[in-house]
Amino acid sequence: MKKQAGYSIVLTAGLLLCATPLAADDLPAETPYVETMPEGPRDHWVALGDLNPLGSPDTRVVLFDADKGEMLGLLSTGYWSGLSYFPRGRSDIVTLETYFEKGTRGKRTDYAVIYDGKTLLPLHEIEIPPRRMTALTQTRMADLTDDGRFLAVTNFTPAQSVSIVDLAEHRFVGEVATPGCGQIYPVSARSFGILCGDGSLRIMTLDDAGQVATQAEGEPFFDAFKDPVLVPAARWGAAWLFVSMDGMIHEVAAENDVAKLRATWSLITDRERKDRWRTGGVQPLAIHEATSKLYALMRQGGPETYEEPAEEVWVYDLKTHAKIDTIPLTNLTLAINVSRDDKPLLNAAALKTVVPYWSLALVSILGNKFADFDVVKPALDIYDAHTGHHLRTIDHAANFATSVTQP
Amino acid sequence: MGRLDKWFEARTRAIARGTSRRGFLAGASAALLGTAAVPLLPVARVQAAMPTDGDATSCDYWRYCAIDGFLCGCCGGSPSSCPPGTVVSAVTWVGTCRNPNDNKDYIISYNDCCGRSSCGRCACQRDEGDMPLYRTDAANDINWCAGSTADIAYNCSTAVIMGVSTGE
Repeated sequence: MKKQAGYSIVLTAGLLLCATPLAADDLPAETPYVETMPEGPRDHWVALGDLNPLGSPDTRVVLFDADKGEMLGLLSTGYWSGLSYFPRGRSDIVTLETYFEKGTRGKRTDYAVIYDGKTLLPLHEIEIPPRRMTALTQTRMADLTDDGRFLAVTNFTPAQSVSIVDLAEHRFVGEVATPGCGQIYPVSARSFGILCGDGSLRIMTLDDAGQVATQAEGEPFFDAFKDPVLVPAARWGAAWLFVSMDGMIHEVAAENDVAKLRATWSLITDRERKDRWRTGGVQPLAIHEATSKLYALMRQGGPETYEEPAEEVWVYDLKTHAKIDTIPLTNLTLAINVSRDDKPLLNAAALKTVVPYWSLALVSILGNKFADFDVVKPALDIYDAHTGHHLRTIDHAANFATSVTQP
Repeated sequence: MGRLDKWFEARTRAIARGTSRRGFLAGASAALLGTAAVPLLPVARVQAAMPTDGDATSCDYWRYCAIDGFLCGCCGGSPSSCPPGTVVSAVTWVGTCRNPNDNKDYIISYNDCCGRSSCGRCACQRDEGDMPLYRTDAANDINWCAGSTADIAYNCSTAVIMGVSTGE
């Protein structure tokens, strides 16, 4: 003990010597401050929805600058959310949040929260019915009308309904029963579709006060039992593109506020289908409107692998339905999105294997078991959407990201 | 990444695709769930502890063919019981799994256990027969704790035998 104490004295003295500043090189004293979000275009911001499954009361929206590969900040969204919405033409950010009075028990309160896009401070916390739906696939649980005025939120108790929130007047408007129908797909300034279990898209239109003015049932556009479509679809103008479990694309557009099937085509050839190619991940489709390109996360495997991470992105010309490119992914990927600008980025919520693959092969050969989470960490991969070149990987981007959102 | 690494990557991915029903990295999607109306049917029932016909803490155990979540058998419960302090979800969804021991198909109810934070142990995603959210009868992505007295606080997932499937 005495010897250790002696070392400590020597060490402390050494540290003091080192800490003594040289007058000529003094660094200026600093005052801590709080950053604000950067000015300028937000096209290359990326918001990862982090479900944080090992800390479910503490889900997050993690914001990144995809060009710089830097984290900008985060929003805490409470229990099982990670959902964020960016009204077009405005700087504020809308989230859905849930809190239990005592962490995981006690009174539940749900909110739609409007954040200042500059300070990331909450401007308005609008209480909504504590019934919003939670699931692994979070991408269509709610959305804004195109004019940014109203937010529609899916509820599940398991009775189904939709809550309407007025973001201009900062108030909950009302709740509409939607038996058999749930997920939200905006189609115009004041209308959105709700996906129904009978294979149809019901179009709901709101009046200026946010009350439901009309509801139009559509014809079923797919068979929910023979070849169901996936919930995470991609928007293309007035249409939504849904992909089925068997790789069929259904283009559904709202015409005079009624959903109409515009086209059906296959993402994969018969040969590729035989080789068990299918979409993968939990947000498998993305569209770049200006170039009419569809990006699809693809993997090989049986139907039970349809939500497992994907290895490639296949690119299609939406006008000809032709496959025009294949982008091999740097890391296995669960969710993609493409920025809207003319230098688009393909943003990918990925799972990066953080040890060399040969070591995994060796471990497997030796018969040792390892859990997947032991060797993979969520990362955000950024690609040039035109060329498919991998630009950068942002490590440790989230605890478990299941959605990629952009302003 | 070196060429050797690339080669091993391709090999490892191929092996994982070919040999594992649950798929490589499937556990990463640990958030997930499943459920079925708790035993309301008029059939004889037992309260079963940890089963002896397989390793109930392994994702490869036969009852987990359609599961997506943390295995209660690793969390203080078992395939048919919830950990202390939690509550069983009121509603759920069901899958059908082949028991390799008697070669029969069983209907399995994937009730969630609710009221605590996520267990975090033994994440398991098998997804056989899993359907999108609007097919609530067969959707394991839904947080079925939504129907429980503990609301949406999800802890882990069970795999309760409901009976032999008649194949209807």
